Amino acid sequence: MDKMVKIKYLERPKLSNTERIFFLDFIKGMKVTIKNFFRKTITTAYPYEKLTPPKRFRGTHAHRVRDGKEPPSFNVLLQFMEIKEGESRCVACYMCQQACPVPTLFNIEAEQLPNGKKRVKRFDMNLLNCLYCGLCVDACPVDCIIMTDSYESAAYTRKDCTIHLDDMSERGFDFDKRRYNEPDRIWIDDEAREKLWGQIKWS
Amino acid sequence: MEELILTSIAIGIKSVIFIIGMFLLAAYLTWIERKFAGHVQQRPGPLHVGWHGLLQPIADALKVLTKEDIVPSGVDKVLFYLASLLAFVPAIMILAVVPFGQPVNLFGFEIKPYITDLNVGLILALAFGSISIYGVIFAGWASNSKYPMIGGLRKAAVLIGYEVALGFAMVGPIMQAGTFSLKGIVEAQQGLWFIIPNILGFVVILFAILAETGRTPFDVQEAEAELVSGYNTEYSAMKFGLFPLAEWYIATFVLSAIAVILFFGGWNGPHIFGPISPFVWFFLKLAMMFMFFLWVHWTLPRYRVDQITELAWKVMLPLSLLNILVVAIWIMIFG
Amino acid sequence: MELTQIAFWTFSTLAVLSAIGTIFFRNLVYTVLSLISTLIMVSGLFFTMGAELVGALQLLIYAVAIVVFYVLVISTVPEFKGKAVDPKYMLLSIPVGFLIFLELAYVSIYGVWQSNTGIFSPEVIEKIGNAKAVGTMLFTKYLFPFEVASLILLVAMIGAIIIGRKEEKQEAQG
Repeated sequence: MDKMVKIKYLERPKLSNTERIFFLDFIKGMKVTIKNFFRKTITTAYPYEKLTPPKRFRGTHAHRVRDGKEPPSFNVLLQFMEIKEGESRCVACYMCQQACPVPTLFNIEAEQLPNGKKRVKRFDMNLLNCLYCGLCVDACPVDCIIMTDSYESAAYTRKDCTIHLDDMSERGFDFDKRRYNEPDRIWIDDEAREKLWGQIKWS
Repeated sequence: MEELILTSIAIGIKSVIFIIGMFLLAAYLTWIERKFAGHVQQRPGPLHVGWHGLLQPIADALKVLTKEDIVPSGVDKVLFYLASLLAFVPAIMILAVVPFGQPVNLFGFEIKPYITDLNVGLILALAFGSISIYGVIFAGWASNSKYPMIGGLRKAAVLIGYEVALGFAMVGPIMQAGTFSLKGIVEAQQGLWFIIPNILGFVVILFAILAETGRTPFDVQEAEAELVSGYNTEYSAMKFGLFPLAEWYIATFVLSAIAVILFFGGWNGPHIFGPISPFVWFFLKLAMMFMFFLWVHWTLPRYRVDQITELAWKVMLPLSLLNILVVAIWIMIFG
Repeated sequence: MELTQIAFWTFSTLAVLSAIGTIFFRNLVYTVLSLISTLIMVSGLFFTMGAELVGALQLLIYAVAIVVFYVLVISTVPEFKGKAVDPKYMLLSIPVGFLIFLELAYVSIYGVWQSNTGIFSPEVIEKIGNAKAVGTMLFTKYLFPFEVASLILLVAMIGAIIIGRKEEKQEAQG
């Protein structure tokens, strides 16, 4: 049977005699480690020092609230919805659930009020099943569900790993207050990046 | 009869002091190793138990001692228990022949910082160092599991090669000193250290010590990428703790002491620290040697088994024989 | 009782016990383990008699270098093969074992009788050390047997290499 995938055989780079006799590759490696030994450590002492991740970090989910910065699509939908100022923008369109690779982690429920408007009754997410891919964020038509920079999602019981409508909108309000005006980039400062990996050269 | 009891008590007390000292030292050698490994990888190592993690070894010892001791049901129980001791006891027995300094007069007593000064100390050290491999092989066999078995056999294959090279590399200093006694070898190095004509032998001994103690370029017996944890896979609690303690710390420390004695003049050095300067010099050299092994360990990747044995028989053995020739010519010229 | 005497009786008792264990253990690895024990105890006996060099070499060469190969081979043998007993060989081994015993007894009695007659009295050995005494004998009086022994070892080594080579070639062909 002939192979579907062809293998390309490469030869290992051969060592010269001086390299082989004096173990030059050993010495090269030892030079690197001893240089690192005298460098400053680059770790953070976690429980005492906490890093703030970049804005686009995909942490625990949150809901943006109705605060006047909504996209136009929300204003169109608003006439069918019962959402007060400062409440979650969610319109219970189930788009996030549709986009999700594990749809069962959502538990969304909405009800019709006597005045004919729709109100979101429940929006639970079981984060134990979540893989933090961010597809729900992309799918949201009203820019409601977002992912925040909170990464401490460990809990002692399984029920603490489920997030609900009210704490999500609280988290979203807090996140927007802190970081809404920040530029939407992973690396805030170019300096650190250039120091580590150099500059990009456009032709 | 009275004299017999007195000598036994004196030797017993001395041995107990040496063993307890070695235990404490080994505990803190783990701290040094973890700090070194951490800084090589730009992380600080143990940090929170005590000042810069200084109490970490004690916490670790308590943890290892109080852990549940699991003995798998398929193992050969007698050998399983025996193997961990068989690896540990010979390693600590090398201390019996290693001198740490000259006799010192303190408060009217003559204190000898060694247990015995046998005329055949070096051969005994070599023998004890290699007896401890039975611990590794029997641990592999008694575990009744394939990874430990492979680990134990690999260790045996590595050790057979390097034991020969190690023995021949030690011949150079012995020829120059004219004695097997480690104390005598140090006393013969008042002038020039034996590293000068014996540089080839020193290189061989560096590799042999790395192989014998299972440190990185030669750690095929526990190769965690292939063999889970090698010969100590089935062990737990203190029985597990004894293996690295014996191999990585006590054996490395004692063999570094022997290398220092053979090639770097032992406790010889200018008397600039007053009466304790021999100890200071000896432990300074010893620490440098030990740190060098740590440096190699945390730099290099692992050799393959066939590469290791090839290196042992095709490179290290001829090198050590060449070293004997060089030293013989040196002795003929310079006396 | 002196220390050397206590040591002698301890070492010899343990040596005999582990020798008995070597013969009667059914498990092969235990056999090797008690063989190691015997060899170590014998080296202890050498130490008590003041033959430090021989004791240390016994430890290094017999207890480690040689038995490691035994262990290497035996620990890979499946357990049930060690338990097979053939009474035919047991019967055969009795006269052969008796002959070997006679020879060893003759050699050791002759050695004890001869050992007081050479130039190396205990006082001389005390003064010049074990290694020098052994070296002097080996390179003067017993130089020829020594060289012959090394020649035999060389022949054995070359033979082993040739046998090893042959198998490799056959594998390559087949």
